[in-house]
Amino acid sequence: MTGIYQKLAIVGEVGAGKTQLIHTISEISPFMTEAKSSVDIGKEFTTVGIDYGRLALTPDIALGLYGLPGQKRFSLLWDMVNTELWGLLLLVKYNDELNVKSIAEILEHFRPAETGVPVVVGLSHADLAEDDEQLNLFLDILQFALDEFSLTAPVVCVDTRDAESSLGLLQLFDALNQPDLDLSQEEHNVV
Amino acid sequence: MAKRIACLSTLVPPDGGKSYSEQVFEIFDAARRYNKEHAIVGVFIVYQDTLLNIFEGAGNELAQVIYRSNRDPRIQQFSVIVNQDISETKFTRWNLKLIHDNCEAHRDYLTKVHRLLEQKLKLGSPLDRLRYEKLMSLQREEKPPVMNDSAAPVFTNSLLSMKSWPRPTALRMDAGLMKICPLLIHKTVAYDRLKGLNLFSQNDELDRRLLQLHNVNALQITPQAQATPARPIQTAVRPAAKNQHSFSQALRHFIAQRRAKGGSKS
Repeated sequence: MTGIYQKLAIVGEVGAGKTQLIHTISEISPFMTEAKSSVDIGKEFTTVGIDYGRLALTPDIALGLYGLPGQKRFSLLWDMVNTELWGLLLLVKYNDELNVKSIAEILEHFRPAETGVPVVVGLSHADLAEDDEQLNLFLDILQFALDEFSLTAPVVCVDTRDAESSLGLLQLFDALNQPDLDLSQEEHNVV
Repeated sequence: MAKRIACLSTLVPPDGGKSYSEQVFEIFDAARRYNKEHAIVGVFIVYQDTLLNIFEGAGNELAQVIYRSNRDPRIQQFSVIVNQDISETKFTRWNLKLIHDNCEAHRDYLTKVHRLLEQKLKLGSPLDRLRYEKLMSLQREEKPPVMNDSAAPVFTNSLLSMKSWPRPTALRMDAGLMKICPLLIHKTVAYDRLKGLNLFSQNDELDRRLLQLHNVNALQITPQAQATPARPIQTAVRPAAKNQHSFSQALRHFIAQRRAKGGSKS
């Protein structure tokens, strides 16, 4: 059997949980590129390169997990990964500032609506929202940013520390990657 | 005495490489900060380039807001269409509503907004009438003739589709929904064909899942003109699809194993 290797790009802003997600699901010890933060970002270390994890599904089949910083200045790293992706996970951290600016930069670069790469938006730290109304406001703004790129993507709340929550993301990508079936009422010939 | 003021305006196209959503967000966010400090509540409704702001709060504070809004270079053709005294506010905070076509929840929301404003509405210019009607005409769009109102929806002999994914605040995406949502999103699917896929082991599971989607307004149901009998789906297997199938099988096995171990890696 020929080996099959698929790539999942995980892109998100500082503190969204990219490194944690890879740590939670990777089969190998993740290769991480963390450095001590020079400014107060709410944590001591932050990713400055690619976090890499891997799931060996069988001896011949593997899924590579590539955690990429969400800032545009790291677009060189985005280009290194952005070929024949199995999926693009946008990890967005809920914040009271309602800032989703980096989403537009990422989508502008990856252009998933054109390439057909399945996209899932993972919303982390949703528990910080005061209530559903506040969360809905954030989702509204997020949806608005997605609409601008003609992108229809599921937005799911994710706890990257939790294995079940993280595995659910993989399951969703798997569902999105299933080949299209023509299930309309029209009769047609298929082989 | 508190006041309610509603204003219509038109968004100026963004320049300097700024995106449309960025521009809208900036206007909203600036207002959000200011209004929070000055105890002003209400809603900022955006439909295409038309903006409808409804402010509620102390009269002198609202006067400042109107002055500021009027001078905002990011909006134009600013016009006050409601100015009334109110005994109590209807909003609890400053909120944003981005209105989409074909969204039933948005139509319902606009209906409520119209009811709130209609008694004191003053559309002084043709432009105001045009903008307001453009916004509110969405609420009058006919809903598809799907089912009787009181009973549960009938899926048999129907075509199903989804225009958007359900929100996590409305419905949690679980394994069952993951099976059917990707098949329905932006596609029109005959119910009988969907049923023919035997996605679920239990007979009524598909209907239960569709009902969940229907209940959060994520599912569009239209009667099928002429029902065609369900038949097994067969598709040609391409090499890439074959690889995808093998990968998918392996991934599902992996996920099942990890779940069996309670998520543990070892």
